[in-house]
Amino acid sequence: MSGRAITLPYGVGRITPGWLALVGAAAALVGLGAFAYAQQEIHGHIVTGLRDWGSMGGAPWGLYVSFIVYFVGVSFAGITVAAFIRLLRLDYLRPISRAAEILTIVSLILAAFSVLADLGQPWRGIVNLFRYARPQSPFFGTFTMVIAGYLFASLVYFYLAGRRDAYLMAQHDSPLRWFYRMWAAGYRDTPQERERHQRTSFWLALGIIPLLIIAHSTLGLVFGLMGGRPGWFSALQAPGFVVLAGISGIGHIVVIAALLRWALGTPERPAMAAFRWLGLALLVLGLIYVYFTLVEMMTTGYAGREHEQELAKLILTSYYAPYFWVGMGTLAVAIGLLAVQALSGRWSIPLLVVSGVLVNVTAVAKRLIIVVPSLTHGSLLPYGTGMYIPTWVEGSIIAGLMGLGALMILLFMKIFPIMEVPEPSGAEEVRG
Amino acid sequence: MISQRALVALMVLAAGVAVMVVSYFLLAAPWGFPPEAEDFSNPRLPFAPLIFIVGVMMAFAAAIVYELWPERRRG
Repeated sequence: MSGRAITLPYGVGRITPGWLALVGAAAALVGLGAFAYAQQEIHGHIVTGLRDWGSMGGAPWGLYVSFIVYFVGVSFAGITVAAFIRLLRLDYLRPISRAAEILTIVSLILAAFSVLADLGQPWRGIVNLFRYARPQSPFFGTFTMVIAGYLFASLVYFYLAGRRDAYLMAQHDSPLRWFYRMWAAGYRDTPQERERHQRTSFWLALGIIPLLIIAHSTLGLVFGLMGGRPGWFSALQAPGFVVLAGISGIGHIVVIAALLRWALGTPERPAMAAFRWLGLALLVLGLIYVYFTLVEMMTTGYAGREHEQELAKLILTSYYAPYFWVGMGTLAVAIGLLAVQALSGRWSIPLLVVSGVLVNVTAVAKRLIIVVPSLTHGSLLPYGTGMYIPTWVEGSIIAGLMGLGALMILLFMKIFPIMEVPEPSGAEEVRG
Repeated sequence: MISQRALVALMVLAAGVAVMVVSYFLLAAPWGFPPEAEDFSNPRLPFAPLIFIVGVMMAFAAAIVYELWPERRRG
C-alpha cells in the first residue's frame, strides 16, 4: 500500500496548544514529585508523617499505602470492562475498550511506584521480595502477583488487541511507521487473523477475570487476615476491596469516556448506551458497598470487642470522622445522582462525570480510613494512641504520580489511536 | 485435528502452569506449623517467588505465541 501523508485518526501525531498545556501541567507535577522523592531519599522517611506505631505513636502506613490500594483498585475496572466487552459482546462499549486497557496499565505502574515510595530502601525491598517472599502470603499476592502477573496479563491483552490498529497505522507515512510495523508483527487483518484474535481475546479475558478477583481479594486479605489488629480483621475486607476497586475504576472510565466524547468529534465516539451501562454498573456497585459498610459498622460497633468498638466510635464520631463522613457523603450523593437518572431513564453525561469524580473521593477517603486508624488506635498492646498527618513530601509524591499517569496517557494518545480504528477503508475516513 | 499453532501455545501454557506448580509447592517456603518457624519461612530455593511469577507470565504469553506463530507455508 502506498505511503501517503494524511491525517492520522483520533489526533495521533497532531500537537495542539491544549495538549501541550496539559503535558506541561502534568510534567510540572512530575517534577514536584521527583523533587519531593529526592528529599525523602536524602533525609529518609523522617520528612514524611510516617512513624512506627506503638512507641513512636504513629502509623508506618499512610498516604502511600492508601494510594497503592487506590491505584490497584482503579486498574481493576479497566481490564474488567475490556474483558466483559469481549466475553459478553458489549459492542457499544467498544470505543472505550482501549482507554480502559491503558487505564489499567498506567494504574498498575503507579501502584508499583507507590510501593517504591513507601519503602525506605526500595532496591533492597525489590530484591528481597523476589528472593524470600512466600507465595502463600497475601503480601506476595499483592505486591508481586498483582503488579507482575496482572500487569503482564494486561499488557498481553493490550498488545494483541492493538495489533490490528498498528497494522492500519503502518499503512501511512509517519515517523513512527517502524513502531507500528513492529507492533503489528506481521498482522494483515485477514479473516483468519481476526477469527484467531477473537478466540485468543476470549480465552485471555476468561483467564484475566479470575486473576483479577484473586488479586484484589488478596489485597483485602493483607488487612483482613490481621487478627491482632482491630478494624482490619474482617471477612468483608476481601469482597469490599473488590467492590470498591470496581467503583473507583468505573468512576475513572466514566470521566475518560466523557473526555473522549468531548474531544473526538467522530461518529465512533462513546455512545450514550455506553454511559448508561457504566452508570448502572456504578449504581449497583455503590449500593453493594453501602450495604457492606453498614454491615461492617454494625458488627464492629454493636458486637465487636472493646478495641473494635473504640475504633468504630473514633471513625464515626471522633478523630477520623471527617474522612469517613466525607467518603460516605460523596458516595451517597453519587448514588443519589445515579439513582435519579436510572429511575427517570434520562442519563446526563455531566452528572455521570460528577458521580465518577465523587466516587473517587469516596475511594481515597475509604482507603485512608481502612489503612490508618487501625495503626494509630488499634493496638492490643499497652501503648498510647498515635496520630498521622501526611507531610508536603507525601502529598507531592502522590501528586507527582498522578501527573505521571496523566503524562503517560497524554503521550500514548499522540502515538497510538485511543479508540479502535473502524473498518479498514483507510485512515483518512476516520480523521478526528 | 489440533493445529501446530495451538499445540505450541498449549505447550507454553502447560510449561507456565508447571513452573508455577513446581515453584509454589517444591521451591518456595514449605507449608507447615508454626508458620513463623524458620524452616517454614525461607524458600527452599532463593528467588522461588520470582520463578512463580515467570510461570504466570509464561501462561499468559501463550496467547502471544498463539497469535504470532507463523503460518505454515503452502507449497
